[in-house]
Amino acid sequence: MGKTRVVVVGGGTAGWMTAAALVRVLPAACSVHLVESAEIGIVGVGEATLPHIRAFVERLGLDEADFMRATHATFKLGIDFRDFGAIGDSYIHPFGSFGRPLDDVGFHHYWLRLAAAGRAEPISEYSVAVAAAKRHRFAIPDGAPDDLAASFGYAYQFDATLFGPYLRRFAEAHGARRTEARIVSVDRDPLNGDVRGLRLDSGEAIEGDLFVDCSGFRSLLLGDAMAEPWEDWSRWLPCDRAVAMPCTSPDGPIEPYTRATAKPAGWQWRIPLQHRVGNGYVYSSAHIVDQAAADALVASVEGTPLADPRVLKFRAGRRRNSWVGNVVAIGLASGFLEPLESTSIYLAQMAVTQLIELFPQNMRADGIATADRTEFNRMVDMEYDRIRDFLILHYHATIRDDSDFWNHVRTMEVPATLADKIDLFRRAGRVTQYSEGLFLEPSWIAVYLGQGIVPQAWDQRADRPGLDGLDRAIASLRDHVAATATAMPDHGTFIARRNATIAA
Amino acid sequence: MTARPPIRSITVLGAGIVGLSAAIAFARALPGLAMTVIETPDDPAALTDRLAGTLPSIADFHHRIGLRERDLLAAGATHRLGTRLSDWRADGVPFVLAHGERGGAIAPGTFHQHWLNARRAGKTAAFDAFSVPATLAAADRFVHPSDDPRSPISGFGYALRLDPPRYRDLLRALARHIGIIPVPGVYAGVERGSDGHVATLLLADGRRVAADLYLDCSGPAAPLRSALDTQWDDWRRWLPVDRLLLGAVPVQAATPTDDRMAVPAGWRFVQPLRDRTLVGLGYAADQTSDSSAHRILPAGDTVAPLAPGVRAEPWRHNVLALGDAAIVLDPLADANLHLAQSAILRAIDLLPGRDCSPTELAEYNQRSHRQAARVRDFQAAHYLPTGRTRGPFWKSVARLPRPDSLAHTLEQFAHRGRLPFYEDESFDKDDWHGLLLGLGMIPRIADPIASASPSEAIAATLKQLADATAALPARLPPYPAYLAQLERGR
Repeated sequence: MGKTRVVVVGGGTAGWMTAAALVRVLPAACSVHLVESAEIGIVGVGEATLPHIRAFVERLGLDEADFMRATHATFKLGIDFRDFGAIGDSYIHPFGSFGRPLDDVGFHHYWLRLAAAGRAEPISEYSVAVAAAKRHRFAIPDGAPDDLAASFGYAYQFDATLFGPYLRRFAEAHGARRTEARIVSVDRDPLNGDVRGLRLDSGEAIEGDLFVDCSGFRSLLLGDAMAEPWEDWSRWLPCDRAVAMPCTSPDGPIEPYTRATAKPAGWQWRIPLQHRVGNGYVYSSAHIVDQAAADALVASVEGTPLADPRVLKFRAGRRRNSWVGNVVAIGLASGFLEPLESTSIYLAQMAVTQLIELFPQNMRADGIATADRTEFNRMVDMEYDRIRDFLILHYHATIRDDSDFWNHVRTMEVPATLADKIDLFRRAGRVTQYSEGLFLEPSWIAVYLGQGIVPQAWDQRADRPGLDGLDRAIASLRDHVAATATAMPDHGTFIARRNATIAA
Repeated sequence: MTARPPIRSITVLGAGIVGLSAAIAFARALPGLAMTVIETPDDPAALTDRLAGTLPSIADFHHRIGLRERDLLAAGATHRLGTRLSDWRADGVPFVLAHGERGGAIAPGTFHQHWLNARRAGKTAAFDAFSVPATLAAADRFVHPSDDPRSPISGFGYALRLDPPRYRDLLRALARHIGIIPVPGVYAGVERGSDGHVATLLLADGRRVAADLYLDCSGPAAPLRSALDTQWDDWRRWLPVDRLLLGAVPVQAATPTDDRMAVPAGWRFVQPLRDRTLVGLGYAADQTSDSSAHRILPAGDTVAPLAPGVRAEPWRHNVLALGDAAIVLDPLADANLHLAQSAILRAIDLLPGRDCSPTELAEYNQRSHRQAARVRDFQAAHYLPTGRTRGPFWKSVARLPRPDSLAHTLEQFAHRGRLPFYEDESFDKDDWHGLLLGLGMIPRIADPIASASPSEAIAATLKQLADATAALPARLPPYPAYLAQLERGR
């Protein structure tokens, strides 16, 4: 059986994630050749991740402590959203659940009933992830499935410019080939349109069977060569620029969470790493000019700037299909959803996972099965659609009327799928059920409630217990949540201790 | 803050297994409800009220309504660990379908891919020989799965085989215990309000019954729900059995194993209960007359016609159709009661206010449809062209069209042995693997992840597993003895 020759175009995060996963998981089925150009540079702002990244780290067999030290990573328990639903409001979207279900009914229904009676604290008080985040504490989740100490997950905040190189060393050690060159032309099969090879500025030509386009926004193969149409989502997600600038870390504890603060024409991120803090303003160029955005960023950061502000351009949407012919686009080459919920690296990871599941081994003999391509595109669609709705919710569920930007997103018509979801929650706190996909019930509950979508009623079954008994139970749960978080070590100390064990 | 008025009263039309199950489950979930159950004359076409087969999910439902397994055993139920399909494959070799994982994590990659590699390389035991419940079922043994995942007897599920009239009596007693006493009545019509809701249910003797929510559990005719609209998705082109001949024969030894045999006209089934054995024949009316069916199954005494399909919107306004009023399927996969029970639980989870807002109903209807469609796919997958082709029924099913989701599933599986993801699956991957591999569908290409493991080591592991599994039945008592032990222990 001949190995399928995979050519990866682009050496950013997506490119090296793809290369590393393929050589690690399918060493007998493929060879991997990655082409990148140092001239082009990488976007690399994806500093914050989602808990799914841990599965990727595990699958590669990376040592978490070593990986975190190399990428200056910190732990992430959620995102602190400020000024989104209304100026002055804030909530944490935690990687974990609120409370525990009781007699087949979700915790938040009981909470809604108590809150209506004026007898509940904010729902965040019943989440271990939030309680730990607010105290700047962290511990690895542990215990039986219904223990509070196991009721959350975590992700990493890392230096994305170090993540790619870290994976590159791994991929090259496992047999990936790398060529540094610029691609000058793409050779295509005159009969079926498949990509046959790449011509490089060095004069070299690279042949391959399967081409993975990780060329970022340029979408060199899928967009340019294959001309796959673009589906534009900017009418719902108008932010199309970001200006980024790292700063020194302030003294004091390191927050185990990312902060997103709404601004008049977008929002600003703050991502604490081990050695610095990443900052950026994501904005709509229709509502603010680049210089004003950069000025606003510079004026608002804490710490000393470590670089000049750098502007990135993007647009929300995706290619109609991510796998066309023998070209699979992964990462920004396939589509882009803005970084509000740190989904970029997840989308690349998801696509890599699907590619491995559907990998066309022995491709020169067997080709690519249509069913595999269909399935890949079906799964990518599902993920994109669901994430898109979740992101739009953050903009649309607001009472902000202090700028043209917020007036636009507050009053715009949202996709029907999202309008239905919001209405379902508004009725009686029900969340459209997904068994798979990125953001599950607790995430939707966090954002709905955090941004002022208050259900008119709750599950009738939550009315069964007596109010006083319920009040006592929930108060005791809150104490338990607080005690669980307080028992955790300080986040910065935890990381320093782990780094020390490696150094030793 | 409860701005919207809650549902205070429910009227159930039909007091068969579905109607009683719904009444009890709603009353248990919401003790303050006023619950009325109208006992309509039995409809012989209401299959869900008459069939004995269930799926493992029944344990959850029973837990929710407060029925213990010992109560069910006392009401004539027995355990079903597996179903043997005979003459179903082209080579006639029988295989057993059971619920649960096989083999476990023997190396990177999924178990079935390792088995496929071994099979491609040469000889290995049949796929069901790696399933503990299938192996026990093939030997007429049963044991409750252990909670300890390290035990070889763990990681599987089992279902119950009900004695339908006695199960209904048990539900009736439970209903009475919580204050629900069905009253006889015959549907005569409805009066509707300006909002489209049913305001009053009219009965033939002139009684008028008002409720906030109506549950139509009266069978496929569903006169109450059909008063609002009669839109129906017809699935007959995918599921060719439209007649069941049902009957009973004298009791055989108790066994945890059902039998389904492919016969030239369709398929026969055998379900042994405590005091009799239920038998049935599924066939297609345009090929086999009822009198021919009687010649094939002389013990058959009732013919039940069925038209497989689903109601486009089972819940409309304040009328919810459940059981055969919402979905009609033949019993090939024993899913009828499973679908009714999960519909009941879903309705409770999504219970709207008195306004029955279209948003909540749409979510309910969408999820119900997704779930039903995948059960339909699983049943239609029993008619693969790799299976039996002898006999008029089997010759014609080989030419059947397939729903898109099933076609996609089969295409993916035939190519690389992978199952695409769908929401609301009732049959998990292990169930699908058991059926498709049991029917002899061998994927064209090998899984690259599983193929990375050395084949000799995998072959040796598989041999050990098969031997260990094969040795299990001899360590257990025959099922009748196990049942007797359970009863003594009570």
